[in-house]
Amino acid sequence: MTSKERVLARLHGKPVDRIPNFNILMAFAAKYAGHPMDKFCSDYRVLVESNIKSAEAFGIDIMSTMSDAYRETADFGAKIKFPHDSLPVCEHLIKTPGDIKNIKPFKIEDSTRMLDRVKAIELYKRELGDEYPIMGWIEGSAAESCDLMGLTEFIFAYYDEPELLKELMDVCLETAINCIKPQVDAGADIIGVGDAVASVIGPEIYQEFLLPYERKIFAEIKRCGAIGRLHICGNIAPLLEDLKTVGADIIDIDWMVGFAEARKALENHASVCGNFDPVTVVMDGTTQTVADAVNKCIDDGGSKCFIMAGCEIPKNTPRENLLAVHTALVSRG
Amino acid sequence: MSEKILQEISEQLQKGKAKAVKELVEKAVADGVNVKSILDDGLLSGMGIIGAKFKNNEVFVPEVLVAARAMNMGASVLKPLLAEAGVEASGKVCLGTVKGDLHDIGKNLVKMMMEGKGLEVIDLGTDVPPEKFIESAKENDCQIIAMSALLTTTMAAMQDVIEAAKTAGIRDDVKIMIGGAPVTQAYCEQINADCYTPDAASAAEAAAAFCKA
Ligand code: B12
Repeated sequence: MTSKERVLARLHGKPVDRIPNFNILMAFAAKYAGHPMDKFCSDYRVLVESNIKSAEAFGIDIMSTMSDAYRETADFGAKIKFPHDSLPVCEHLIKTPGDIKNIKPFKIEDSTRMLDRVKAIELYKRELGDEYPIMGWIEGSAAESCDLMGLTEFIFAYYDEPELLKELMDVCLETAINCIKPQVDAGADIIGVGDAVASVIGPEIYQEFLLPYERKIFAEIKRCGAIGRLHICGNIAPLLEDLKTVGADIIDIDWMVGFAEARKALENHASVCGNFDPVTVVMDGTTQTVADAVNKCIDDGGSKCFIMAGCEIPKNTPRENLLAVHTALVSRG
Repeated sequence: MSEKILQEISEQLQKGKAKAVKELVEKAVADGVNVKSILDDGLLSGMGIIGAKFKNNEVFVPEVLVAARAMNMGASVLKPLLAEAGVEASGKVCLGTVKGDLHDIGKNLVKMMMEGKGLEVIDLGTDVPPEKFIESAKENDCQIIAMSALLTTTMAAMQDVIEAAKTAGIRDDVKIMIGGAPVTQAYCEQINADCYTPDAASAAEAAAAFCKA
């Protein structure tokens, strides 16, 4: 099976030769291919080359366009620095809630960093055709609002000026929606949505303030004919009930959540994807801890699950440990 | 009577009602309630309850942040009075998230809890290079340098700050506190920092104790 066939079959609970390896690589891929992080984040050719090399070497089944959280943020106008070999650092564009009025939605064709992502998708498509599923990416409206104003400030604004904050969320939503179809048209099979803050705000605010926005994003992904994948770093156990209705096809589960519990909650709604600890199991562990964790996730995740560490594979992970994920998946068949 | 108003302060604080807390504290002061008792049995006791609920996953970060903000509004009323009475821990802390790291919720909570204890906090923000910690500590005569890190990759920067403090000749003049999810007591000992605590309330307590000592 090609990776794309494998992923599509698994999504529908059909037989596969091995369960798809969905590990998230960014800094690790750049390092593996011998590129500094600033180039990986700012030049689509470097990102594509690094990910293809890594996928071939480590048996990854997906071609990702993730690099850092600040693509949209920079395109909204925030100042961003690319330190040579570490993660980009981005200033808050919104310094006081009053600045929210100055933030305007943009279209991907007028952007810089999001357009670079479209170019990455096109290049994957040219180089790989239909061999791998290609994943585009957008930030969820709450995550993007936080990137623009700061998470603490976002929370205070939620209490003090909810109407104004909704305006910002609306601008972020409109922009996210603008950015979905062009990525699908360029060749993306999957659109990932990152909404990390969801794990820190608790179920009430999630339900009232984030979920409606996420639903609209996944409805648009569906309308464009792509597969929707939701990624929330952190502990989402309190959100599992609500996530049934979000409309994502694949929901990433970070390592703090019981994989069996997540599968049980989401069984008839989405594939779960996860979920061992990237730091203690993969980076600081051994090939044996990795194999054990993979096997446990396969046992717990049900017939539609995907396997990965709960969040990004850290840059300094020993290569043999990442490879151990693939080896375990192959030997399970 | 004073018990009732202290109870009310604690309750409003737990709801994050900053304005109500401030007004109640002012009223309590006007009514002649002991200021130390307003702080301990009203503000800090309310914050303690929220902190415990946070640990048990009964409330989440937003509730803690607004409660801490309410606590600080109340504490700002008490500050001059506590200073007069000589009960306030007075001290200066320079606090920041280390280089390469942009996570700041934990740091902000630590800041608010320390301010609640009457300490002055110089907030250096996120992605703070070692030189900046040192310069700021020297410039402001800080007793404490406090660092937060949420990434295993950026934790190492804490050691750089300790080295920089040695090079600058101020290592013996400041206490160095570290924290953030991946940081542990073992790591604190390994890099010869002075103090690690797992949460913001205990961080503030430890800082206040350093400043009294
Ligand atoms: C919110 C979040 C983000 C937000 C940050 C927004 C912001 N302004 O802070 C965003 C989306 C931007 C983000 C980005 C990234 N993140 Co992040 N993020 C989180 C998340 C979900 C919550 C962190 C948090 O705020 N917790 C709540 C606060 C209150 O807890 P706390 O900080 O630990 O603080 C408490 C104590 O530690 C203590 N404390 C804190 N500081 C101090 C200081 C002192 C002196 C003391 C004594 C005590 C103390 O007191 C606090 C209160 O009790 C965690 C997952 C998780 N649940 O932990 C991941 C997590 C921290 N992120 C992670 C990663 C990998 C990243 C990225 C690299 C992802 C990427 N590839 O783009 C980037 C890095 C960006 C950068 N350069 O920093 C990983 C870190 C893995 C690791 N161990 O290295 C985590 C654990 C997720 C995961 N499962 O892998 N993230």
